[in-house]
Amino acid sequence: MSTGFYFHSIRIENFRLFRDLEVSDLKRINIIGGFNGAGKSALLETLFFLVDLRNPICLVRPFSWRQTPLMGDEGLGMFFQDLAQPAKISYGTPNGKREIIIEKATLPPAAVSALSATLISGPMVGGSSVFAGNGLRIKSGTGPHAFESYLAPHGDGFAGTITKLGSQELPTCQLLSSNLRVSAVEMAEWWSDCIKQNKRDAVLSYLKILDPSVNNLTILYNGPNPTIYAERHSGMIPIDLLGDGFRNLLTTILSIFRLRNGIVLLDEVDTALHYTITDKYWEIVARAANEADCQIFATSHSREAILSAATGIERAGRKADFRYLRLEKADSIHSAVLYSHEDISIASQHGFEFR
Amino acid sequence: MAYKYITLPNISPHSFSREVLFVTEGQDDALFLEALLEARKEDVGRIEVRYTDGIGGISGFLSGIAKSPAFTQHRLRAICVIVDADDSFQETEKRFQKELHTANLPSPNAGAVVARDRHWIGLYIFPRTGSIGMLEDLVLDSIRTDPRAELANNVLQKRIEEGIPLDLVSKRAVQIFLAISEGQICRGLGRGIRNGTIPFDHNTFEELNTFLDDFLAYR
Repeated sequence: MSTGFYFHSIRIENFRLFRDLEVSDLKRINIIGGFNGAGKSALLETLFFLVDLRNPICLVRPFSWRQTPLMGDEGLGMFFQDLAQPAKISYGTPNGKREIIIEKATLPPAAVSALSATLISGPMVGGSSVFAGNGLRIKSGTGPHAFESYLAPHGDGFAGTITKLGSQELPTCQLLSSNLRVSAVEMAEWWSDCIKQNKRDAVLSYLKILDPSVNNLTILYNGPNPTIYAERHSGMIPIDLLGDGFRNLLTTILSIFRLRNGIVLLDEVDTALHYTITDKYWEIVARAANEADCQIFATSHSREAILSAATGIERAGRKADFRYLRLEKADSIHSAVLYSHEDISIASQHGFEFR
Repeated sequence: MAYKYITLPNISPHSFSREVLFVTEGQDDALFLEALLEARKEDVGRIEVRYTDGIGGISGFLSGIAKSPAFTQHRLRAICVIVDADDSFQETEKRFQKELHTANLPSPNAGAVVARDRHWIGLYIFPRTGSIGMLEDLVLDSIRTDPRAELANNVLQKRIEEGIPLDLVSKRAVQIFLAISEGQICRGLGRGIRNGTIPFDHNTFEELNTFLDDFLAYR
């Protein structure tokens, strides 16, 4: 039964490409559109960063996914519009407002020691002076909820350490992207997680909406590696041979059930879906997200995909869960135009552009 | 005569490539406006006129436009809503001010233009500010002394005196006027106007022209 979702709103100031972006009234399923470079993927990555806080290198991970080099003090500038000012991200959750500050800071001795210790086997270890310069401080919360971590340039990358780890509610999160293909081994692990959580039948029932011939999923070993096979009337077939559409749906559904009460970020995963099944995909995602109390953020360029999402979500009886937000950028300032399900229906009815 | 301002048929997705948009409730209003704009020698390339097939469709139309990329990114700079007063000027004005507000657009008084965030929004109610009626009443005023209009009015008055319940008398009068005028036969005022039967230089259009001067002077 649905009880809520994590991100109700978000404001991003002086962080990465966002000078000041505010998005209010987020829903369970949020489709993010906008022109190339408007910040769709950066918004997904920012959301991921917020819930990945306990990872000392959470700030850097999205750059590694993009294979963007971050080196030395110059690399610090990549996180800010204005490096001289702190970045601030505030967001609304069911339990109140949260705020994270990221700012340039001189590394305190404790952080220097911790960072050095983590690199004891690295080629550039030369004592604490390695980290004597500037780094970034990430802080959030106060008192028993206080969190603080440091990130510093080192060698050809960054190293991070957490110096305060108060109790913080952080939902689990999975980013699925066409650039980050989930491996067969990971999928097998996720399927195992779902079985352990008693969600085998739920996952299968959703898969059957897309492909009724699938009776079961089984993990078999090809050499040392586990692989999911689909059991169909016609025989067993490895998931990878079922096509990207089915594979994408499976990874999405597994993520939703595995993370339960979590967040799934989908970066243009609909590009692998044929238009005739896109609305089914979203119908399934909407039903599953509601059942698993999961929040979804997805980017898309396609009018067809956005309309199909609205159709599928309506078919799932979850119209109120739908939000489309178009990111815009004018004079280096980002903004978001929000559409409800009704707004998209009206735009569609009149044939208006909304991307 | 080719359509110059009106996008027909609708192209989907429609991205509003022109700076100025007039939204009217019916096709006749749109065709009338197109003819008037042409008589004014307005720049064809910057204006679009669209109609919504009825007053009820304007609400959704406005909210859709207000959220469209063309509007939020300021390629579409000025929007004017033109509707009939019908039985109550005040009620119609109030209703469309509310519709504009609901669409998160500024709400000018009828006959006025409001600027906000580099957008200009206008509202005009036919036949003229403060009067009940419709476009046809405005047009009839411009041809009141024309023998064809007098004939049309006399016929309608006679029928009403005979006890025939006739609604939309001004529409019927215009249809009779057009039916006995030269040019192709047509049902509505819009197409009739395209036959060149309406004197746009008549002073009855002065208030509307002044409003259009203000609206089209957006910066």
